[in-house]
Amino acid sequence: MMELDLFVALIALATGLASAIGIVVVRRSFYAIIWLAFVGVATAMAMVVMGFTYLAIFHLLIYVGATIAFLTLVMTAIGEQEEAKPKHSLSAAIVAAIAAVAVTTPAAIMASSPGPYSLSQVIGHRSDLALWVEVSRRVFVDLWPATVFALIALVAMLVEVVAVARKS
Amino acid sequence: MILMVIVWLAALLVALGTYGVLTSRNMLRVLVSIETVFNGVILVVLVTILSSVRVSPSPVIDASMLILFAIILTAVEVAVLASIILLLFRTKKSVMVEDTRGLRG
Repeated sequence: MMELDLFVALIALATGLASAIGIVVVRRSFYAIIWLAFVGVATAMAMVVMGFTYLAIFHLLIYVGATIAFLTLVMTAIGEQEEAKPKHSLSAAIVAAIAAVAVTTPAAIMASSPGPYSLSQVIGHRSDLALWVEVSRRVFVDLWPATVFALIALVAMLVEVVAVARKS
Repeated sequence: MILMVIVWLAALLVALGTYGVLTSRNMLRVLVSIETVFNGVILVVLVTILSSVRVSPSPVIDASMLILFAIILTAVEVAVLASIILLLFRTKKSVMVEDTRGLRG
């Protein structure tokens, strides 16, 4: 099982690397949006390896679906633009490397110590249905204020998007 | 080993996303790069959650709820930024970063 998880994690790493490079180097923004979808898929694969299947499904449905739809809609609305070449520079690469090291070093230190790598190892083997019931209980019962806040944000987003798009 | 592979994936996403933000001149591409960084950061948070919990499983699910709501709010953020880019294109006829300098006070 661990070999299969490692294999999937390596595929996610390769997919994420190729997609992120694609976002930086492609000439047209539309292709960058398509590569972003593959970054989302790689992230979802990593979530599945870690046992957060419900987050992976949510990520694919809400984040990848909505984000790519919105960005593609904008791309369709503004049409083909003559795009300036990105200003590649060594200083930008150094800043990006420092940012990546700063963000991921604490997680790397914690992950290097032996311990569980999957949610199923932490909570014990229970059925997927039981996990879904527990997650649903947290979302709709224990954390209902946050759920209400998220729904209000979604509705406000729809109102704002329509208002801005109509230029009103 | 598996968590380290995922940390490497997160580091690459953060690094390439930051590089894209710094070098892109198209606002849409800047937004796409910011979303790449977001994907890396949520992986970092998930790895940290899994690595830090050794005793009780309950905080793992509670902490993953944070990611759930972050995903919702990021979809909202993308929609708002996309509509602002659309509005800027209607007024400026361009989505280049240099062309929005007139917005300065």
